[in-house]
Amino acid sequence: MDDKDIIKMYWDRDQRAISETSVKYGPYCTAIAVNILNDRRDAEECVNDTYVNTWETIPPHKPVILSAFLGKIVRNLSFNKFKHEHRQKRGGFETAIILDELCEIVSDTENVEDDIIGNELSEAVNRFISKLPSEKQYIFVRRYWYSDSLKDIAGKCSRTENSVSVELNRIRGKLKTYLNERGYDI
Amino acid sequence: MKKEKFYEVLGDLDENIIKAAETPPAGKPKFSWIGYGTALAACVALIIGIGTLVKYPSDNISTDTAIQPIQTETSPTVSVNTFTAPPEETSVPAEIISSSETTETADTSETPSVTVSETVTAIPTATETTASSKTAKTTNSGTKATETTSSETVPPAESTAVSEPPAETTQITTYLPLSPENYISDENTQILASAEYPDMPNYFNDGYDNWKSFRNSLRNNAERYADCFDDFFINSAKTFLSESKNGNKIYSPVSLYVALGMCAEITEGNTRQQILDAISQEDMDFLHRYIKAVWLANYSDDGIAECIFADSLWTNSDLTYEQSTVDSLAENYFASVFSGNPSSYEYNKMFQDWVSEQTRGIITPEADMVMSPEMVFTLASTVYYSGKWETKFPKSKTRPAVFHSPDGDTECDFMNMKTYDYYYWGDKFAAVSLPISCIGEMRIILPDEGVTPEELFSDKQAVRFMLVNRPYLYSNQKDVEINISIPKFDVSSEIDLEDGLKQMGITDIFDSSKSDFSPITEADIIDFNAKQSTRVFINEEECKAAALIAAGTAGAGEPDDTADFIADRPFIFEIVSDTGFPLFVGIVNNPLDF
Repeated sequence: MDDKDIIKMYWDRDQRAISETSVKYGPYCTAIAVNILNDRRDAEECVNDTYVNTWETIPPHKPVILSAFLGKIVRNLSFNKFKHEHRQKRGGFETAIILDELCEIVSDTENVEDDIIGNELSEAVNRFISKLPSEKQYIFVRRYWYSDSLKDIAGKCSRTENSVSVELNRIRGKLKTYLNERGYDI
Repeated sequence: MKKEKFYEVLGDLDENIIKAAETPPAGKPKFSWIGYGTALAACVALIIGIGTLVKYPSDNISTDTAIQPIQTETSPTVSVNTFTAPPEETSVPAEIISSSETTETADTSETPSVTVSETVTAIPTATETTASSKTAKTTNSGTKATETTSSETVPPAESTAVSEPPAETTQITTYLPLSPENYISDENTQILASAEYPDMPNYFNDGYDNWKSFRNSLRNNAERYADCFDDFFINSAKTFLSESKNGNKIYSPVSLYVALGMCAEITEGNTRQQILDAISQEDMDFLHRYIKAVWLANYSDDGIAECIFADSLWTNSDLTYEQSTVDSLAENYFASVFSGNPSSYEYNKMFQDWVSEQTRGIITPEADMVMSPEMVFTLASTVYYSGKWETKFPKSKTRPAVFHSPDGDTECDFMNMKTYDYYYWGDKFAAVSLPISCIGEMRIILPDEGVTPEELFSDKQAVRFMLVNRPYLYSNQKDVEINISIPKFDVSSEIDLEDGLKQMGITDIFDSSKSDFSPITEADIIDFNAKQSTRVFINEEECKAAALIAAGTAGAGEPDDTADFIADRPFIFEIVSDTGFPLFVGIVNNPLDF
């Protein structure tokens, strides 16, 4: 079924929208949640919450790209769950590694203006990533948005894990420089 | 900003960017490397058990002989047929030449007629020695052979089956190259079991998800397998690479490991225990699971790259074998099982073709790699590896330059590349890792000036670098611009494993008075050979430019923003699978010494 038809069902408050979403994007959402949580049961819980959340947000929202819309929801829900579970030292090993990698870009200390600059910063990051060559962009997004493992990214790019690691290291350095040059001392 | 907060910021990426990353970039150039560069490696490990096909009807030797010789009724005879490689300077006609040797015999009157045929294959220099020792062993049963004379020509088919008058002679059969007229016809040559290899989805044609899913399924059991391998890797590398004697030396630890596993399968008692100890295995059950895990985790034949393990058991159709052991070899080692007459052309041809096919012609058996008529079994374990550099070496940058070999300077072609990658170092070495698409990497480890490659096998940092599953997990590393210059090389090496294995504690298997092969056969095994042939080459298309590259030296220590890595002196290379398993390791002392 086309995304437009699924979205129309949400707007029509047709509950089949959820099952159609599940059929078409269930594996996609589950993959993101599993990447972040490394626990299938927790992931399924987040995916189910995603359907509920989507039902509650469409309308008023009218997503242009349904997969990315759903992906953002499941990513947020999964990460919230990760933060909760991580305090209890459960699961999410890969996500912990990813967060440590991000420490090369940020100071990992809390600043009062973090919430204020959040949207601005997001725009700057978007600008930086959009200028990356397609393969670098792909590698960065797979790692830090989809939370893919190095191994998975290497397989998809027909690279070795080592070279993916090198590439990410380089992009992180450039992103940090890019943001610093624009006044984001984060 | 807290890292968690930044992770959330990244969650707000533009939806078009997120959507674009759902599939790998179209037209990604990673597969257009055909012709750019190649890394190829192949190895064959041969384990050959040679025994007496004829039993002595004496008290201390079993009489349940697999085949009986045609014996003269009255003349007590000892005849030893041995294939030996012809001397290089001697032109040998295309037939088996027997040289009957008169023996000075004491007290043969009570000795029954015995014909013994023995063959040593493919180790010409060792043949005479082996023949002598076997003769002595044979005569222990009642006949003393001390001197030889005379020669005559006999057909090969007869050489193994006919007792040669006169009495008190020892017959030496000279080996001839494999060709149909030299061997008997054998209609019994057959394949008893063919190993079933995983049918991997093709990376390009069958969809990435299918490919990935299948590949992951092969690696389900591989989590801790590399850990078990560490001690064996270091011990065997020290043993087999410690004396490269200015020549190149290569071996495949994984091939040797699998071959030793098969040896453990066919032995019993202390003979087996010594092998299990050397390969750090607790028992056969764990060994089976371990070998399977290694085999499957590293297997690749998917249209991108090949890493193919192959094992085989070559049996003698005149003997009987323990079926459960044969089955176990087939099941646990993916071994194909063959049966035939070792004296036959067809069987030898099949054996040579098998080796050649499994190594994709990289190792083409010499004509003298033939089986002994007295062969009880031959175990063959091969590894073939082929992949393409992930980052090409530009052909236009290839230059002739000087390589400082221990035997003197020599000029050879160096492949050159500027890349941004991790540079690794230790107190005594510098190293780089050259990724090979989808199948692993080649690590080049360059000892500092004044340090030999052999010394690095005892250096903790170097060993750590060689063993680490992923080089980025090694501590001394820096992402810098590296000017890499390494010689194209095509090196091969043949190692007689006996001395090295004995150093590693595997002794009984070479001692016929102690070896116990009862799990595979009741036939006497009087000689046991183990050797490994390996060949590795890396290349890219040749460049005609002729200018020396700038002199430079990689040295230990943390580099600044750029580093030169110039392998212009002896170095170690290690081919590591993408699961972190060391497949090949070697020392290149001279890139031109094939």
